[in-house]
Amino acid sequence: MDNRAFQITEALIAADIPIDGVAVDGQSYRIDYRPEATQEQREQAESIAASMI
Amino acid sequence: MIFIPGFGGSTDGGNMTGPASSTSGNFASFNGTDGKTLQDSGKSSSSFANASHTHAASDIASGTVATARLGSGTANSTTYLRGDQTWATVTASETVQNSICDGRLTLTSGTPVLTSSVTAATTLYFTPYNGSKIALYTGSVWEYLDFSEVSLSLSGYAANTNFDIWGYNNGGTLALEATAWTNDTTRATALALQNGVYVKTGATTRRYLGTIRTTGSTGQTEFSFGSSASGGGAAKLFVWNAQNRVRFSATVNDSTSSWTYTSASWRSTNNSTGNRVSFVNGLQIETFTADNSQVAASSPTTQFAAIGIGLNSTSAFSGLIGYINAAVGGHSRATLSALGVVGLNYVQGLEYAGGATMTFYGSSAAAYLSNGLNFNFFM
Repeated sequence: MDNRAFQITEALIAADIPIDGVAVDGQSYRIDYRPEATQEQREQAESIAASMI
Repeated sequence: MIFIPGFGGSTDGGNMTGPASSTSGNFASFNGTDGKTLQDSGKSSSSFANASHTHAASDIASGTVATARLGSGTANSTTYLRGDQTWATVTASETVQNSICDGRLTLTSGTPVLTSSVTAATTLYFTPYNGSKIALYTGSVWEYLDFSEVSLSLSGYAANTNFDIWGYNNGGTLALEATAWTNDTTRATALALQNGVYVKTGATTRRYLGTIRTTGSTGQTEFSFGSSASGGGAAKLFVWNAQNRVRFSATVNDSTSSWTYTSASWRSTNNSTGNRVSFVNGLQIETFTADNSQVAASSPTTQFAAIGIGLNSTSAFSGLIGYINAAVGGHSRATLSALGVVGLNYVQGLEYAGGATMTFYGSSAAAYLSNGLNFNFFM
């Protein structure tokens, strides 16, 4: 089964980006940020996720 | 001079005297005690009431007794004689069963029970179902009205609003009208009971047929059974019948391949309100059932995951949760059986991560997966 959501989640947690979770559906993804996530962290997370799709 | 046989005359030698004039038809009577003087009594045969008589009923052997002798009121071809000796109009109240209401509210003409989703509906129908007769209150009695399918245009009806639907006799033809609610769970005009049947308060000729809800688009409603979609294909069951309810089932699947959740708190399945069944409920009289099925797994360090069902909540579960041991992963199911509130309700798939990253799999993750939210209700 598709485990990319888990893999991206672990990568974002390792980068200390505060998230609630990640969803992956085909070539699209969604990151559920926690409120304290800064704009810089969000941009970093998008970059990490996009590289793993 | 008048002569009365036995009271004088030529053989008795007595003379009777009378007044100089008299009223024709009046009886003569003695005036004084001499036995010879008469006067006009002032009384005629019409001055005296008939003496009462007693007869056996069998004495009436022919003819017809006048209806006025049988009872008060007007006797004619539309009245009958009641036990209290009153001529009364024949009304339907003696025979009408006011529970009769042979129709259902629906969104497709000629289809009282929908078997496929209808979205963006702009017309509501009341379609004959198991008959074509409805009992309506006139304000004093119940009467039957035969009807064919009638419709109600929803044009201009406010979005995201509940409406009660009433049926009434419009000059011999069944007609529909609607009353908007104050908010999602409060009627602007309360229901009233007339002989055990719900009618409109202050307008008892309006029989309560059910409640509908408009979607986010003005003048539109929906009755959809859910679908499989990324983020969940939400179902909207927005037509509730007060009579002749039948059981409907809606299923919502999330086709997302997989998603993760890392927090020890309840949230919507896949963080999406698409994993939801919304429904309108006119009366709090029947329970619904729902179950939420889900497959999840995680890394060995994760403790557990749980799934649940929120009743009008995205952050708290109702009913029984499903538990998934994260170390081995697997499938679980949450269930809920409850009375919804009157008005708008929703059941929402929920998820919870016990301590670390939990991965949930959608219905497209594998050919053998069919997770989702199932809902059953009589509507």
